[in-house]
Amino acid sequence: MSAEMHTMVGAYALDALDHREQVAFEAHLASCPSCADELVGFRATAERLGDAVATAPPRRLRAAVLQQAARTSQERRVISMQRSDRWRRRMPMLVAAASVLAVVGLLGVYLVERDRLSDQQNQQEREAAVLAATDATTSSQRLGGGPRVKVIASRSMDSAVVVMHDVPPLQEGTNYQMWAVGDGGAKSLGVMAGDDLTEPTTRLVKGIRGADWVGITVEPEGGSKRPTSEPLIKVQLA
Amino acid sequence: MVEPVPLHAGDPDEPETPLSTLMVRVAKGDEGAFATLYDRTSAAVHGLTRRVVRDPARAEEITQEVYLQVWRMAGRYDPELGSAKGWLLTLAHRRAVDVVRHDQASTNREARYDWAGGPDVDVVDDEVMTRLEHEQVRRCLQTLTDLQRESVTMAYYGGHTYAQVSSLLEVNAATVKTRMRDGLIRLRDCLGVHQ
Repeated sequence: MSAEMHTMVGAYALDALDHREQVAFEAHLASCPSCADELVGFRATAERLGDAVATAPPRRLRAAVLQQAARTSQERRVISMQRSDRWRRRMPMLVAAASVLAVVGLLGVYLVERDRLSDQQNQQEREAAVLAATDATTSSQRLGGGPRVKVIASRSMDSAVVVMHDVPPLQEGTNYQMWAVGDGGAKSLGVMAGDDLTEPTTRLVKGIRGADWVGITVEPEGGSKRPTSEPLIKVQLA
Repeated sequence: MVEPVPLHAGDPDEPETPLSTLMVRVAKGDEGAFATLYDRTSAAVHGLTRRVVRDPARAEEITQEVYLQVWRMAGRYDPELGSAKGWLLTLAHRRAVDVVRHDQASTNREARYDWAGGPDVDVVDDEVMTRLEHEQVRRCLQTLTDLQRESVTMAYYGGHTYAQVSSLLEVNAATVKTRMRDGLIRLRDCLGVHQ
């Protein structure tokens, strides 16, 4: 079993495992120092493969990235350092393994399990954890030249980060409402008033596990129990 | 459309700030450090992403997403765990692979993939360091057996799982898995990657 697992280190370093195998391999990694050693070299090799196809992005992307960063709050560093220390003590091998993503992924789960942060901090941590989740998938939808909605979803965390661009302004007395729609019908993921809209508007939502798609409707102020209009936009989840 | 940025090599009189140091500054909210980090790594992040997703608009979208993630979570980067660029590329690659696999699930477009030859000449930046890097990687890829090379490049540049590579090449899945590892070992040694 262990020998078979060990051969997976190459495929893991190339992100060539499916999700289930990836999780299994990360668990194995914690107790396999030789896998961890090898992974360091393989990651560095993959970095060279990446470098070899470098091609500068368009100039405008730089401004977009920097502006977006300037508007975005960062994860609290002190907290993540404490956590990382804790992991270092508990799982020295894993940390030494340079398996950065495994650590980030595990931290994500860990962050969700812990509940001693204030709500706001917790929200930020959870959002970051969804983005870093090993099963996170990105789906997006654009309506002509109009609104764009991207959903980064982690079914294992039952959560998603919804990023909305160019959402039209709302009429007086109406709100946007997000829905997770699956076999069980439509479940509300939250309501947004016109004042909540920024560019982009980002929301962390919970309850997407069984959903096939996420949609946004216009609803009377305060939101509805069930959608009362056709979705403005639908994003099919991976 | 050439980025007005210093080359990797740098000026001997003005040693560049290591990326790992920049990451520490970024984690403290230093927007200038973030801009420098972007200037020095975005060609690699964008190029790899574009190579995997093959769609310029999506590649830009993913690149932007990755940098935002880096901005938010820079505090989690630990220099002891490997190079900062490696961390960025890993984040970018995983995101790109997710997108490709999602697309593959909705439209079966696998037949269009043919990456066995390694990096294309036409997608490579015209910058000296990149060209040298590219030549060395190309040369080292040629030292692999055909199956090793195909397994590594179809996974890394094509975004395929080893199971997909196995069915595309009609080779046993366990063999592909092994060849990926063997290929990486040979590539690592040829490139002189230090562990």
